[in-house]
Amino acid sequence: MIAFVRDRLLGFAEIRVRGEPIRFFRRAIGHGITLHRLRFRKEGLEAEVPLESLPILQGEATALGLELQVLRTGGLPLWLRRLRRRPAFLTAFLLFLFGYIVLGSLIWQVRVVGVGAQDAARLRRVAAELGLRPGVLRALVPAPDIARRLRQLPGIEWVGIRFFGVDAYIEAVPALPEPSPRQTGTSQDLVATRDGIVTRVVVFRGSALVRPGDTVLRGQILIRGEEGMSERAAAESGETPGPPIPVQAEGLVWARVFETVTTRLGRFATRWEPTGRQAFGLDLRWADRELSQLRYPARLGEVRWSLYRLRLPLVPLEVVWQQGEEVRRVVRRRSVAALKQEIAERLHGQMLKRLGTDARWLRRRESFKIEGNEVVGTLAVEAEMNIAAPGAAPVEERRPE
Amino acid sequence: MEGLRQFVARFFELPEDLLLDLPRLTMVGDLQVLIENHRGIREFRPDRLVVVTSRGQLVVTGQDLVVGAIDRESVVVTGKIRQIGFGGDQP
Repeated sequence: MIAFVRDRLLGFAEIRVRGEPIRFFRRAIGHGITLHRLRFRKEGLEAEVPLESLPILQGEATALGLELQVLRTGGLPLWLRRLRRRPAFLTAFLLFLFGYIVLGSLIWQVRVVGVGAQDAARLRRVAAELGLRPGVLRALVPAPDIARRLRQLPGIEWVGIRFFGVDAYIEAVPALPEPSPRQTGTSQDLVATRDGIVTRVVVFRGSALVRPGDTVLRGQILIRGEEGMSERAAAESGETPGPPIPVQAEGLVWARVFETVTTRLGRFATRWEPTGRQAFGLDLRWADRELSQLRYPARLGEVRWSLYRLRLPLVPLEVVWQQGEEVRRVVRRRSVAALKQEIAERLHGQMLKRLGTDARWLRRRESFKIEGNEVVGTLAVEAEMNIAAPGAAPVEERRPE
Repeated sequence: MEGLRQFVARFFELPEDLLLDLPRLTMVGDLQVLIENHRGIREFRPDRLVVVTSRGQLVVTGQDLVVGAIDRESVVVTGKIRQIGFGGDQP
């Protein structure tokens, strides 16, 4: 293989020898010439030889009285010689080379890894403002400075930037979650997380502002973060009540809450079923853009293997070759009973997600109706749950300073 | 002389193919054979290749035989190799 590549780089000639070639080739080997692809043909023996050895071989053939025919020549020196004779080709080649190098020195994609979509978008936007964006020269990007600036963003613990080919990777680590809003030395109220009718109030610290039976709205203060002598205690002791002391309100406020969730499912379900045949496909991708005209001839199910990201070293062209089981789209009509069961499960899950697992369900009501080709399900639940949570009350409910 | 070389090779546990100038054959299935330490080709046809070695003629028979590469040291023969054996007189 190495010799083959070397011959392509230094040039090679394909020759045919008629007569008694064994002796000829023995002499050639004696000169230290390496012969490749020596094969027998009716017309004579053929072989590939280094271009530089051609004069020696021609001399040997003449000495032995053999006929040596050069079938073709090739290799880099000859290609370059031909290119010199054709300036248009040479120009095109140089332009291609120039374009390849220029394209390869640009950044084509900025990928953000390690953080969620929102933080990724924010990092990408700030990095673009600082000079790291698609289309800029990689060598001109001050990566350490940008990384340092990105690390100062709120919610980001660490940021590193590395380059891989024409991709820039912003690797980020999100900051630890903010500590509880409770702070020492200041007051903190407990407010309602949702609308409801208060059923029980337990105050550990602070002053309750609601009683069982009260209707509260989301955001309303339930337990105020201050403590002081009550009017009754002041009257009994004969003391004058002093100013309230700010505290971190603690307590539980149970309330009856009402929640409704709705979901819908189509009566016609689309599924992909295997056909039993093998299928393959070839995709070409330029940066993040998929060249749509080169899609798979058949839909692939489970991909058995894929040659993913056979990426050229410098340009953002990716070749994706995949082979797997072919699947076809099958539309099936589902029974209403099965749909109701699935909708009921989904509604239950949605409600659990909305109320949490601590809520005690008092009453529930499920209803279904058919709208066109869809079955719509609704779940209404009356539950009892703790609705008090630390937080800021709406502005109009803040007490005056 | 050869006996002395053989004795030295065995006594010092040296590779005998180096000291005795023996041919070395490496086969890849029935698709390829690498013959090192040869002394040239004597006969070549698509079904038969005769390589001269220090131990006589090495005859490779098969189908669609092609000499992939040949230089002073080694010959690479590719094709459908059926049989390899030593035959003929020593050179």
